[in-house]
Amino acid sequence: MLVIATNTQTGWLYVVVGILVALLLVGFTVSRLTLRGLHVTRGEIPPVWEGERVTVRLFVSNPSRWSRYMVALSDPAPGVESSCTPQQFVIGQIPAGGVVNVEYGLPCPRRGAFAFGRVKLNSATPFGLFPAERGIDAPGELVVYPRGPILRRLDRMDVLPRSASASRTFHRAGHSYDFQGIREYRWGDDIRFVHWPTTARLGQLTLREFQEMASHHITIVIDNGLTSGVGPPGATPLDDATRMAASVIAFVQRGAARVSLAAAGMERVRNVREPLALEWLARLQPAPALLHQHAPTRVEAGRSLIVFAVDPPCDESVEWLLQVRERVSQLLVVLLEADSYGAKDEGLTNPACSAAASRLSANGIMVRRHWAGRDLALALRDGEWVLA
Amino acid sequence: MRVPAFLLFQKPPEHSIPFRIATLASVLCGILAILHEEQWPPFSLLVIVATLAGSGWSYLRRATSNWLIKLFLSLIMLYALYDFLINLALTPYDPRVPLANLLLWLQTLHSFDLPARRDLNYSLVTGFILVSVAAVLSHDMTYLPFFAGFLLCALYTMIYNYQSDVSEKRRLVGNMPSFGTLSRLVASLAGGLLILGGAVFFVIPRYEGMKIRPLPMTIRLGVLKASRGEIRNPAYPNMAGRVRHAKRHFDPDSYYGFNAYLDLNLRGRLSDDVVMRVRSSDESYYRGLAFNQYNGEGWEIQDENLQQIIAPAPPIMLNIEGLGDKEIVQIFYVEKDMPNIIFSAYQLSQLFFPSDTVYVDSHGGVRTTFPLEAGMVYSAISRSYSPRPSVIRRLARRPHLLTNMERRAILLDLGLPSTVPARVKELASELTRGKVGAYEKAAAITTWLQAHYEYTLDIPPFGADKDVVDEFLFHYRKGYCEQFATALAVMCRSVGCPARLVTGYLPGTYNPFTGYYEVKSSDAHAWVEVMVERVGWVEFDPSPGYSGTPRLTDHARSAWVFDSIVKYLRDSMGIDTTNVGSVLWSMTAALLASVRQAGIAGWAALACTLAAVVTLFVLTILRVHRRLSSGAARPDRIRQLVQRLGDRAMELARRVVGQVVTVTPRDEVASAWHQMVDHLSVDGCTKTPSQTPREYAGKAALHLPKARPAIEQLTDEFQRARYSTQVAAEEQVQRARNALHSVVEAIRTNGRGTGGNGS
Repeated sequence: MLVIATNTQTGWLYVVVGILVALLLVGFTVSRLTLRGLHVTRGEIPPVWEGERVTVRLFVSNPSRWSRYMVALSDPAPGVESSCTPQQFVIGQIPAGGVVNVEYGLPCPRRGAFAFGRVKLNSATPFGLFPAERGIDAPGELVVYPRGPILRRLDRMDVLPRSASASRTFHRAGHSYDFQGIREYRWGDDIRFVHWPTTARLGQLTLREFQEMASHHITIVIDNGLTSGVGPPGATPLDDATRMAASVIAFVQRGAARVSLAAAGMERVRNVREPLALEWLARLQPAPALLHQHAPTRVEAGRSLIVFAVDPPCDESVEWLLQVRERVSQLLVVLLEADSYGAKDEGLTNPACSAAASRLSANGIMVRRHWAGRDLALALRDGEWVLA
Repeated sequence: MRVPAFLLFQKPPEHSIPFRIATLASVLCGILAILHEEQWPPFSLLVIVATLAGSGWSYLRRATSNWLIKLFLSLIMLYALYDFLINLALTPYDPRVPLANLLLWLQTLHSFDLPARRDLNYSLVTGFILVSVAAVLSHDMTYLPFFAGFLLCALYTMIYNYQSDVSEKRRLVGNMPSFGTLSRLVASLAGGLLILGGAVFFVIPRYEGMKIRPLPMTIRLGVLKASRGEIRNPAYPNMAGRVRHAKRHFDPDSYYGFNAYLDLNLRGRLSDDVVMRVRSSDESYYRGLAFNQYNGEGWEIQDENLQQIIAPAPPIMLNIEGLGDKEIVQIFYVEKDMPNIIFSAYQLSQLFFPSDTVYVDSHGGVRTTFPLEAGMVYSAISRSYSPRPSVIRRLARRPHLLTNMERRAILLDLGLPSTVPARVKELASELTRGKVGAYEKAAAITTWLQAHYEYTLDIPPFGADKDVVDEFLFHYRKGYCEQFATALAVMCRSVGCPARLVTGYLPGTYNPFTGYYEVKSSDAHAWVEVMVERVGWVEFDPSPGYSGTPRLTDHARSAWVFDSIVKYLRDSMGIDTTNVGSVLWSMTAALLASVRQAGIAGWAALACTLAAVVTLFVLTILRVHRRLSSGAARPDRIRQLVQRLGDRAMELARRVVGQVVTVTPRDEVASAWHQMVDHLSVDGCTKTPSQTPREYAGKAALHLPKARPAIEQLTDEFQRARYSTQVAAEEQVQRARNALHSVVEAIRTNGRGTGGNGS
């Protein structure tokens, strides 16, 4: 256009060119200024159960003196949904010194811990000529608990101490039990067991712990070897194992007992209550290790132990199970048939699995077998084992 | 009927009505601009109505495929193209108007098919093209309102377009800005654009143009032949031919020098009406006629040996001797009726004129067969030879054979009447003593005339039977261009240099907006051509205040607009540009004068403008006052503001320096801590040199309990970064920055809180 202006000597074209250049400059600058100085923070995300929806909140604040208009915001939802499309929004205006609340619901079809990361802000305000982009870290984590079937009772078995089972309300009645010690409060602990004098002295919530409670706890070992990860996301042997474990935990928690959990690649947790245990389960991922390699070498005597094994356990693992059988009061092995998860034929049975099962049964170990698509409760319900 | 699949492929329809209205408004501005520049052709109303109807129609039918309409529209478009080609063939010399009409029709037809956002965008682009074409067509300031209107509407359009674009496939949070909010945004954007655009406009250099040229001219009027070469000046009908002592009268709209006889004793003032606008690749005098016979009281053209030149198709080539190499291209837009004389830069070589015949007299004056009428357009290409004065002097010192041109000049342009007294000749020979060659002699006389005589239009007619030159040189000692030029020509002749008097126009005033030279009636001028050895005719302008040798001095227009604007203000609007004060004063005076001229409407407009300015001013003051009184007026608040600005500048500088010197994360953490200390010190919590960071943190936490966690965190980060062997990580820097930010926030809110309490 400048060439035309020069060639035709048209003064007005110089004016047009001047305005055009100014338009480009303004378009370029304003879109960048629009994104400058905006802050994005993420609201606390509460943990949810599988299959529920969670509400994610983002707060976009504009501490400056100028209002901002038409800012696009995209929040890449971490692989919660199978289709991992970012959530796209456009904020009409953010007044000077104001905060805009961006909120969306996210279905959580499967268990896991999902990290939220960078939020992307885009703007080409005002003319849509030069899009500007800015990434802002708004970290957050969504924990989706596994959800198993609700167990009315583990068939012919009771996790509670015999003496207490007669009166379920022992803790409410204020009976005293053998006092074992105090320990620091962990998230999920019952507030009623807080030892207030110590709490006051240390300035930190402290809890009384009773021997009965400690001794009747249950230990769950999950074999999360690599074969546990086969199958579609959300329906792997490991997922089923966590669901069953969640059912057991929910059940024993009703009796105020605690659980210890062990799996490969995870920090072992001892004597925790439901929320912590569930979070632990939510974070569980397949790891390259065999059952006996990560299983606790020392299980406290007199405890109940549930082992979720995937595929035929190797000989060393069977050896470990046989050894541990001597020390624990109850032992239940749930064998998950990994072959049935990957294959179309759901009832596929691995002969090696059957062999291992019969070998364990022969040694007096209670074994339940589970195939993909079967009722999860079934594997836990029917059996001979009794806790305590 | 089955519709082909490719026709069904469509973009999502655009539903936003404001967007459509804004687009329509911008397009209409473009259309109106074109129509205005084409002086409202008969189809104007049709175009406007059709565009309005088309836009409404496309809104209603936005969701349908409209393939039948599309087919129909393309057929009409083909017809419009055909029409354009036909028109182009009819007027091959100025394709701008047919092109503008084609665009106009395409735009109108296109408005019937605007289902999607992209189509509306195309509309805006066409609107922009229309406005640009109108800019090319425009030759005055009336283009401005159309352009301003287009700009305003286009801003709205682009904002609505972006709004529609960004809301597609995205969920809307809150409300889109309202029309009022958008208008405020548009107002500030328009302000920014004007300032920035003005700056760019001033900065763009203007180079010599007209390199590629379809030179415009009005359609040929071959049949009209009113003159056979004799001069016809519509303002002086009685002076056609050689009427020497016709009834004297003066017409302020037309210079009497554009006649066969120039009476040196006729007095009067020419008006300031624009007679023509000239688009010129370079600044030059526009030469009209040359006179060779001086009789003591006037000049006449003797030996009118007219040469008829006939060209069946433009351009008319004038085979004049001694054409130079420097080319000047000029397009003349005649605004007022003028004599049948072609004005152009010396020396005309090609002429694009709506006639196949012109006559050239023996002095290089070109005459047409009919007088120039208002609205006529012609183009001229001139070529002149402009050697440097040193070269001319060197050439004059070498003996050479006379050229044909020189021989003819000696024959025609050397004679003097007996009325010229001897003292004139004596003066001339005294002035030129020791000078060699016509150039040096003429230059000496010119310099002397410019230095010793006063230029004024207020002189009485010199007495009858008195020699004009003698009266001017020795009696009145003042005069205007005619007297100066006559004196120079006569004195040159008396020392043996062929010279002739030339009438024409000064270059006029360059309007930097339209790009035209505006030539007024009062720009009519007289100067002298002197035959210089081996160079040819060289112009000399002896009037004081003008360049003595206009062609030889580098007369190029300044490439910078600022110079042109200053010149325009000075020359065209009569504004004194010696200093800023005088500019303001004379601008006010000019404004008041124009208001007085406009009468009641003018006064009303002035009152409205003043009221608006005052309101704006008061509102601004109130706003600033409110902002200041909301706690910001306290000195320490201002200090903080300055401090923060300083920090910003430092940060910027650091970032710039950071491009050269690598800044490690450790440095950044440390700098964040130092900034915190600075901020706290300003707030009253100074750090003594003996305090360790930890001790200082304790003190600061007491000073500002609210920010305790942030202070402690930043101190921690600082100590870790400063004293541990680990390399500081990026997150650490981020944490440190965040902590600094919250400390600064705390200081700020704290200050405001105590301010409210009046402590």
